Amino acid sequence: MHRLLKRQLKRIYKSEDAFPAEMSEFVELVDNAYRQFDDAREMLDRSLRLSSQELMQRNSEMRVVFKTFPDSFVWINPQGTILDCKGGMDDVINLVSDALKGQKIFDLPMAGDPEIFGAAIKRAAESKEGTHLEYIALINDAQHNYEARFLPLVENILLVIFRNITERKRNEEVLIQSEKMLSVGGLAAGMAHEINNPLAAVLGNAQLMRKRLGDEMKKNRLVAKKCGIDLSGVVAYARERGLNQMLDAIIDSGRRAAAIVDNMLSFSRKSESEFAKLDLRKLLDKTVELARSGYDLKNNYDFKQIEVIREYEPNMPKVACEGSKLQQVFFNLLKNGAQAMAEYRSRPDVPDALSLFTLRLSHVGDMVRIEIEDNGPGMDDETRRRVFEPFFTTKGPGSGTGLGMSVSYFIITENHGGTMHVHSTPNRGTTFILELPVDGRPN
Amino acid sequence: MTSQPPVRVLIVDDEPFVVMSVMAILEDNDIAAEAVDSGEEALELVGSSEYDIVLVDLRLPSMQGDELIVRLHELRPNMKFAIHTGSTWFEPTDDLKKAGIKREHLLYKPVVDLVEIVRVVLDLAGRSGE
Repeated sequence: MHRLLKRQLKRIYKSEDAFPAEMSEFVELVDNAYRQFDDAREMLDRSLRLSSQELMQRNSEMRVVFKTFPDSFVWINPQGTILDCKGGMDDVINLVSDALKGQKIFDLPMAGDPEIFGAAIKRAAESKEGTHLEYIALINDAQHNYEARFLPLVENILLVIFRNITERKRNEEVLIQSEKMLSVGGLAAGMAHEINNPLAAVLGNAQLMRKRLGDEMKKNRLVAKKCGIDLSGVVAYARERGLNQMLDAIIDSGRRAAAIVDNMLSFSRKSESEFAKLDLRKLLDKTVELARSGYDLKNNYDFKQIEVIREYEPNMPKVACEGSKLQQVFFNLLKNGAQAMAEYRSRPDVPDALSLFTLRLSHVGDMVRIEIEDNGPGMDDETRRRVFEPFFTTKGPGSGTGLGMSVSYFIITENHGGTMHVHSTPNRGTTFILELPVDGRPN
Repeated sequence: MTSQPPVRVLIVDDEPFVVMSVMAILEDNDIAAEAVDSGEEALELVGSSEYDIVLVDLRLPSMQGDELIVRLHELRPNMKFAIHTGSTWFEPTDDLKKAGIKREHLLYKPVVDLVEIVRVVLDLAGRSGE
């Protein structure tokens, strides 16, 4: 007999055997019912155990997957108080749940501007679909691009998902830059051809005029005599009236225009020089010497007063490259950096300090890495993004064409199959990072 | 003063102002120069007159400069050629190389010092001493 039935019978009849005889069928029915109930419950228990085992297994599988997400997850209430969080794999800072519970999410460095962030939370809390935000956060003095998604979950709980998109943004910029380069290249080639002929006409004829207004050529004397005039008179007149200077001006301007067209054509002209295996340490040092020894009246910086620190890795492999073109790139970067530092330190609000270049050479696998770092004014985000753009310049008009940096970019990426990036923080300096394949990839 | 006959140059270029200055600099250096503005005319002229050097622009109204050079070379195997082009870059084909075109015979417009044209012409004519 089922123990529960026994207990009931004892309670009513003082003993489990003392029930009236006519009840025995009924008692048996009740006993069966109890047993069946037990069986059913056991089956339910068993299936529940199986289900929960499966659930736990799935749960731990999900956890493993969850752990590998690059994104960071933060659960907050509509006021921005952190309820829970889970740091991402790919993240710049590690979120530790216990340390952050109870703090405000806008206080996290990766939230960027607290006001903008707070406004986004409000918007998300009020809508059903949530919202998202792209912004820049300053973490440990470096700028990072972030994308935050705000998802309302249940009443008073929102999920904020942070994604560091600095790499993605950089790739997008490279793509845009390449497209710009390509379009400039196409324009440049087409235009150059059209311009070269009229330029040749201007330069050629002006030169001839100059020569024919002088007294060096016998033919000039002969023709003058034939016209019945004294050549020396013509020469004196030309000089007095400034004709020679004007012609020189035309010739000089024509040459400048030709140089600009030629410079622009760097984008489309195929390289003819050979690649040679060169020691980049020597090349870089040679370029620094060149920059030091050069004296240019137009320069308002003195390269000799800039300290140069070298961090060259030992055992650097020789790199297949076009020495003169690479020198052009190094020289361009050093010149720009020197100018920037000199101008920066001449400002009254900037503390007196030594201008400094740090040059680094290293290699990883089949790439070498060249870093040229200065401690100048650095660049703001917009300048940094546009620095390789053709004709973009922060200097005033007359200080160059703004092509130097874009030509350098082209030399590194197109001629050498390498990469070129810039890192910069305002007031903390700028670092140009070039990477070149050791075995070269001539175009 | 040389007793050799002047070098004779034929200029093939359809840019009249460029032709003006090239002819003038050649004349000033006692080089005889004539000019035509198409490949067809050049072929005609070469058929009936003698030239030492032909200075060809690649872009011409109908027959292009590179084809012209090959055909002129067939006509007169001893004639020499130079190219004066507004193109930004030019890689001589094998046919052109067979006609004698080398890198140093390529002049890119604008030639910043016209004397360079004279030098190339005299070089080709084997008269670099002048």
